Amino acid sequence: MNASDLLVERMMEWGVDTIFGLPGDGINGVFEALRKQKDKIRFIHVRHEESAAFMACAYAKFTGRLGVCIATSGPGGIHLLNGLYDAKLDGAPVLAITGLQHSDLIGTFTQQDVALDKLFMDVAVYNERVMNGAHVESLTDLAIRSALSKRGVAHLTLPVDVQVQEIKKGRSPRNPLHHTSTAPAFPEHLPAQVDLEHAADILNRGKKSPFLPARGRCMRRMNWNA
Amino acid sequence: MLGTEPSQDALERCDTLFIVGSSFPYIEFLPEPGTVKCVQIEIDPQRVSLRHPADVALVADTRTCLRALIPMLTQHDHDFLTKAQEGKSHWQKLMEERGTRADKPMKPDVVGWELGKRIPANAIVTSDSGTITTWWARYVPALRGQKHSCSGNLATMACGLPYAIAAAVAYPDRPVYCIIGDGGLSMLMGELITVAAYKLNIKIVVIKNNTLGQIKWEQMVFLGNPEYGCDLYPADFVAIARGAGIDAIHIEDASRCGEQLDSVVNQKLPVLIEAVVDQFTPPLPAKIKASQALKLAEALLRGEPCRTKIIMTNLHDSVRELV
Repeated sequence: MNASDLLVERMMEWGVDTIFGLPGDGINGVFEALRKQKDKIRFIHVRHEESAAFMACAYAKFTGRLGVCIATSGPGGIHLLNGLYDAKLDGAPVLAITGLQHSDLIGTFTQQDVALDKLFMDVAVYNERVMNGAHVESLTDLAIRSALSKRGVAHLTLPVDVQVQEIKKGRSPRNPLHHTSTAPAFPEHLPAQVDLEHAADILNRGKKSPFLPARGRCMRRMNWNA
Repeated sequence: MLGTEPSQDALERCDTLFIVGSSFPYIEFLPEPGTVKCVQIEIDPQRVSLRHPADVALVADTRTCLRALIPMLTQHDHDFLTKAQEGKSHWQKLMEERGTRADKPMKPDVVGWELGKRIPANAIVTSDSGTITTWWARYVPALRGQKHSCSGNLATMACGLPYAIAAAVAYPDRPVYCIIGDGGLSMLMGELITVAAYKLNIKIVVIKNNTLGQIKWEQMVFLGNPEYGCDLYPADFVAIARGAGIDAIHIEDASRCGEQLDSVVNQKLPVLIEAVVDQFTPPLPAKIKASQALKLAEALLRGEPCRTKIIMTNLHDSVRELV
């Protein structure tokens, strides 16, 4: 099993069954993993990656579930940005996956050498470069958890060699496999009783009270048993 | 401009404001700070009192919180509500009046009105950013069971069509209506091919006025400048859609708008509906400020290229509404 296989498998564990994007040589490692799982995870092929990001955002807004988009290195990743800002500003949980150059070419002015992790620093609530095959599991779980709990954009970028790297590669003793989980974490706490009573009192005393509702940014639990 | 007169009235006359999970950014339309009591439900503590000072903040998910709060509320006398409902019903009559005009060129209100009557109760509706948002907000009722969305805080153009595609992918058994302008459509127009490739059940309504409407009116009404850079080349979206493999119709006669929409609304395949409308009809705010009227006058005086047309169209419409 390589990093891409595990990335796709983890997404499915979290209930992801749809991913919007465009392939490219900077992300083809992940695309091979998607191809192998095409009966379980549906890839929607767009014409422009900005659309893929809008689609992931809208998917999250309409279903209450995580939206996922994928783009290649360089221009592909850059194209996602406007759609990802839409998700950020409206609090829609989205995971964006992009590619990077072969790890030993990064920073050498090579083709499509765009530091997407630097580019996404402002838009993302969680933004990391996957360093090796052993890194992908905990980062995928953290990224998805961040997007869901902080209602924002999480971004993972993988160098092309890492995309096809064995998951045993580079594993440290502090990083055993499966030390993270997909356990749901949607708090349903209530405000303090005294605050509820105070609010009710204000509303009851008002003679003219319009209310300004919004969909809020309400979330539905992912379907863990999909 | 997205609001209605009764909703603006309600905000101006209230004594208590209840904000439920909203970060509605147009603070100028909220009551003056200090003039009303305010309760806010908000899941993110960072956003408490973001737009208006809350007397009590209930930090919780709105659904959970309302379940606990509602049993603690007592019945009110319905005066305020009744007045608001009367205002709304009066506003609806105005919308109907504007939506049933037979003017040539067709008013954008007519398309909105006819669509509003036809979009089914299980539909998902998406819109874009610009004057289109006003037509969607005013004319397409949000029925229980439907889903509606647009780009809220970012207010970006181009989102409408990809939003509709996501809706159709997520809910293949529900009809999707995409109500967008020609500006927004042109930006990510390639996604028409995506719609065709996946045979998505989307009715793409393009309200075409060959102009970046919101921007044009903002140049005139907010800045007092003549419009500049807002013209859109009049592309033939019917031909473009057909080229992408999508069925398409062209509407420009208000008297036939309804019947033409009827011919396509029940199809389960994608259809593009190009509705050509008058570009000199501004989306008027529910209540026009004197300063805005002044700026518009300034723009017209300073050589707005279409000033005669604008004056004549709006004079005609205003007289009609007064009468």
